[in-house]
Amino acid sequence: MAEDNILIDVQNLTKHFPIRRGIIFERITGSVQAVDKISFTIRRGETLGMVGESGCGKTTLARVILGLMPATSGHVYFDGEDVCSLKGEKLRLLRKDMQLVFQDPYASLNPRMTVEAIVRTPMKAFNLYSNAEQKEKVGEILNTVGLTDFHAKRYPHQFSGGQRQRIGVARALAASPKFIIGDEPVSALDVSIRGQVLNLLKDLQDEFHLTYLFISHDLSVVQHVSDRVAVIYLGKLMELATGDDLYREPLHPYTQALLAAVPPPSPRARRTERVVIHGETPSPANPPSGCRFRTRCPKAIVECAEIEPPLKEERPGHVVACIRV
Amino acid sequence: MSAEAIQARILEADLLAGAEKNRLLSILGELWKKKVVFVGGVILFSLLFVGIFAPYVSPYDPLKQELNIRISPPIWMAGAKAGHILGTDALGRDILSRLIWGARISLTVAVGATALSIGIGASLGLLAGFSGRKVDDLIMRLVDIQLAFPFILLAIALVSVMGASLQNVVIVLGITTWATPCRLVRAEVLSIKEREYIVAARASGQRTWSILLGQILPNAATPILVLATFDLGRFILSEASLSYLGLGVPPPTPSWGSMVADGQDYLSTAWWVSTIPGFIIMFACLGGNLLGDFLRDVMDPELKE
Repeated sequence: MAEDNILIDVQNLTKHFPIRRGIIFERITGSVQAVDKISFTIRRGETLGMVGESGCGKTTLARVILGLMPATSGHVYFDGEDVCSLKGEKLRLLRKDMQLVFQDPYASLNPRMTVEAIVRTPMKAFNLYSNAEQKEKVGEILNTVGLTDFHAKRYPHQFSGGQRQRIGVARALAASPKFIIGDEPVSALDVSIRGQVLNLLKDLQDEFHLTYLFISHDLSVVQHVSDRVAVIYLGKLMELATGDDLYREPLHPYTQALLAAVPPPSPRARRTERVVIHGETPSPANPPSGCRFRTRCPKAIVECAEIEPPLKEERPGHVVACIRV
Repeated sequence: MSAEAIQARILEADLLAGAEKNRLLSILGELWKKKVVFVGGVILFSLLFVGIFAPYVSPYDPLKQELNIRISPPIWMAGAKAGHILGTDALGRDILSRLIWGARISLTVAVGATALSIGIGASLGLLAGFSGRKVDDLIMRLVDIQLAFPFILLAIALVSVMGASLQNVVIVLGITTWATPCRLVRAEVLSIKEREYIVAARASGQRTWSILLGQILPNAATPILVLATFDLGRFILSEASLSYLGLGVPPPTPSWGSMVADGQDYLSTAWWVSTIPGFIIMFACLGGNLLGDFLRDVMDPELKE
């Protein structure tokens, strides 16, 4: 496969959900285009941030990458292996190396399992250690994520949201994976806890040489943790650049609008030009022709409805999909 | 250590004593705390106890007929015969002794049939809820057929093929009533399997069967358990209906249900012959339900405190 230091290579990944109508004579009347021909790579040890509005396909993308949902077309190469073509036991074994941290720390932990049982799940699934070692490991991992081994015998409802999210992180770490997807791992937490969990994730990355795909709708959170940032709109990749580039000089009008919406730390610090977008996100079942953002884009011209803008490398390492750039 | 961590430690120390206790002890402790439930447990276990030790605790042979003291009333009523605390039935058999021996039959039938019915139903329900659409459709059509069949008709057919015996009563009751637990479990599985922690288990690499038994089943256990406690009572009564039709445990073996049926001809003149076993059935059901409520609470870690 490609370069040696690339861990994840996503090529033209597409996920459409069919819309079914009718009870007896069921027919497919259309499809929700949750993810449409997205390509990007993630290098080893890197954090790729992914931002986009609610419903733009971020969670779907994460689940397709992990093989939790089949892709409609396209490929995901993980360490050179195509996740989309694997099935059954082979796919399961691959999950040892790729794990997921969920958005909702309340829904993602089984209320009837003790913390120890939850964190042991991946170890048991892959027969990693002996019984006694597993228990010991659970204690170690809990310490790593800032809990204590006392907590092992307790149930999820006895913890706060931030602690629960740490349990979720502990579970993701349990099988010593190479790659972790954080699907909005901090958006359910309040601001004071958010920083703690973000710093925890960063520390763990340094300690275990992890690669992250960090999904969020919060630009400031993504800026804090990411090396590079991808911007998604309605299932399409709009812009991808290093964090510094993207935040300093956003090229795509959508990115510019997103950044303009971040409240500045002081009112005087507000940038002079402020792009404001109006209207609702169009339905992914019936996306606009050409550029998907054109219906809300302040810079849209007639051609935008005709040409589907290709990704072009505007500057080294900075790609953008807009014909107006 | 941060202030938060210290606080957590202190809380921990308080809770630690509770966590260290072994599970059985903590269940017994909980039982004692809830007196009503304790009563339920006492009722059920004393019935079980007398059933098991029937040869030692029953005052008379339950089959021995004393025709000269037929239909004698219980001890607190006028005309009672000494020694027969709860009176005698139409053939002069001691009601108390028959109740004690009947506990064996009735509880065996109730527990056995509940286990069989829930065992079949829950397994098929798990399968239906978790497998694809084809398997689900197939099992649900089987359930529809099962539910469309009148229970008594099926029971008559089965017993006439297999013959009337205690074992066959359990089998008949079990395989004619699996449809309800099957539907219940399927519905539970359908809702549980969409929860995020199931996706999380899959993402963690857990095998499908292990998710099914280790994650989904424990979360579906509460309604199963509640149904089981209701079924205990229902099966005691069903056994009575079968006995009444001559399809149950063959006479003269005493069972609570057949005792109720035996007494019905004398209801206007000797109410106790039917009513006393009826009360016992009621107490057994009550005990089962109280205990079921309690088990439900104990098994749910969120309700435990």
